[in-house]
Amino acid sequence: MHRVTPWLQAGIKKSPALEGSCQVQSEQSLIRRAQQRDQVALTQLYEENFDRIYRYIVFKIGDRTEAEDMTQQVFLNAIQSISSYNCKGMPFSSWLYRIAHNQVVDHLRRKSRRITVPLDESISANEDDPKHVAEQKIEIEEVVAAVKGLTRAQQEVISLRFAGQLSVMEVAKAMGKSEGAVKAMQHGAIAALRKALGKVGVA
Amino acid sequence: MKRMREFDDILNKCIDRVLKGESVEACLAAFPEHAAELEPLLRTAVDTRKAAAILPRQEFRQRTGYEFQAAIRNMKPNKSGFFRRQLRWVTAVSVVVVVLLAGSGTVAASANSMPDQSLYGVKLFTEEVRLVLTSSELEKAELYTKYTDTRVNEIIKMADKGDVEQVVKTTERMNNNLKAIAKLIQPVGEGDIAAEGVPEPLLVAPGTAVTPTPTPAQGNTTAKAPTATLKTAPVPATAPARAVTSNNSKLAVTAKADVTTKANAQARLNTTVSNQAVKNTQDLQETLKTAPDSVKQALEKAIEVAGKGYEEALKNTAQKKK
Repeated sequence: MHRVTPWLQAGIKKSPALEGSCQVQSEQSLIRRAQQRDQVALTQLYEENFDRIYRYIVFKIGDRTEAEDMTQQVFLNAIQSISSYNCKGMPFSSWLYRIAHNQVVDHLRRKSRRITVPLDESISANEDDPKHVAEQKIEIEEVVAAVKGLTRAQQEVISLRFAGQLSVMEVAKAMGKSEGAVKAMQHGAIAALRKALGKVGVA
Repeated sequence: MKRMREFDDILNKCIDRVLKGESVEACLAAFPEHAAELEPLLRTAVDTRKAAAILPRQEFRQRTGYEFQAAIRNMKPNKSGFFRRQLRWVTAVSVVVVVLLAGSGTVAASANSMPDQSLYGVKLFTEEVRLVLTSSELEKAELYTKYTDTRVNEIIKMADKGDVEQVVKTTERMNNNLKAIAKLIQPVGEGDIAAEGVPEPLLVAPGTAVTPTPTPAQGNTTAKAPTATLKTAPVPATAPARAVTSNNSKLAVTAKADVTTKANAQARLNTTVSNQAVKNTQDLQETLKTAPDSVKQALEKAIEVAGKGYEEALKNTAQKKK
């Protein structure tokens, strides 16, 4: 079985034009220490990215238990290969999402079963009103189902922007696209979601 | 085309603001000429943001954190110099404050958990975090001493329940703690208390398979337990037996701390370790009398390990004293 180049599966190519920007100096310093296997630096990077990576994965695959295992594996893979990370290639967050994306693609390739979303875990904290929670669950289910109807590239943009909370620049680096292309895909994706959710008046 | 790109930019700016928690109305007010076009898209963006706000379970977060720390430890981190050590300390505080605040309820709930319970991983992780935050060797040794005491209590509880697997695993963790104590207080040169040979905190992930060393053949399960040959360290007249954590924080400030304070702290540690050695070995032997037959072999191993471990630690404290 050949190794898939995951990002290409979504029809995305690397762009040499995107080379060149590093993080702010404090993050560079943190990453350098992490590359020297500094425990505190590695822990800080883990803490800063853990929730976002988990959200991205669970939003993509819709299975809480699998997402937990995969999130753990993303960070284990990251610490194994962090010494090869070069900030000139892409921001650290984008690099980390590539690892997560690889995990997701491998997972989806292995399992083609229909996805179910763990609604009980999808509600944010501080929701005490059962009626409101139930309504929110329905809304979430609708949104997640609508996202599945997008193109792969659009799904990726939405997952990275809304679940991963990456900036457009970081999404562009992660996907090997220009920022303009990402913005256009984002617009198209939200318009398509709007249609899918049955709300007339799309831009 | 140009107009479309401009609108993409405006939409993106508004999405950034919505993702940061700003209201749709505020975005529309900022771009009134595009409000009609923006509004439905931003409402959808808000719905999408809500759907994506998926929180990891606290237990999963804690467990993964512990396993991540274990993985880092296995990477054999580079040795660091004095200044880097200080920087690490400062950063560690901020990191761990976040960790502890995020899961303080779980951390508190885990304090009395046992090896066969789900929150036990959190308990071990919390211990690990405290060790990482402790820069002084002496304080680290005190923490390991305390955690060894905890492990012994856990072994007793697990033995009472007849849980052989957990007795074996917890014995391994206890053994790691005892080795760390011995290493931390081994003599490294006159007056030197903080420089060389600092072992990193030991981690044994919950659920990790432990391969026990072969236990000496037992004729029957009620055979005499291995007896530890423990040398009790001299106890200073003024040193309270178990007051090990109260006054030692000053020692972490500098490696050139007051020699008398260090000596007193060292003496207190010696006292604690020697008292604990006697008491814990006795407790384990008492447990052996009433433990289910199935667990006796593992318990005898625990007694043997405890005896050797404490003996090694006390030998080092005695050498250090000279």
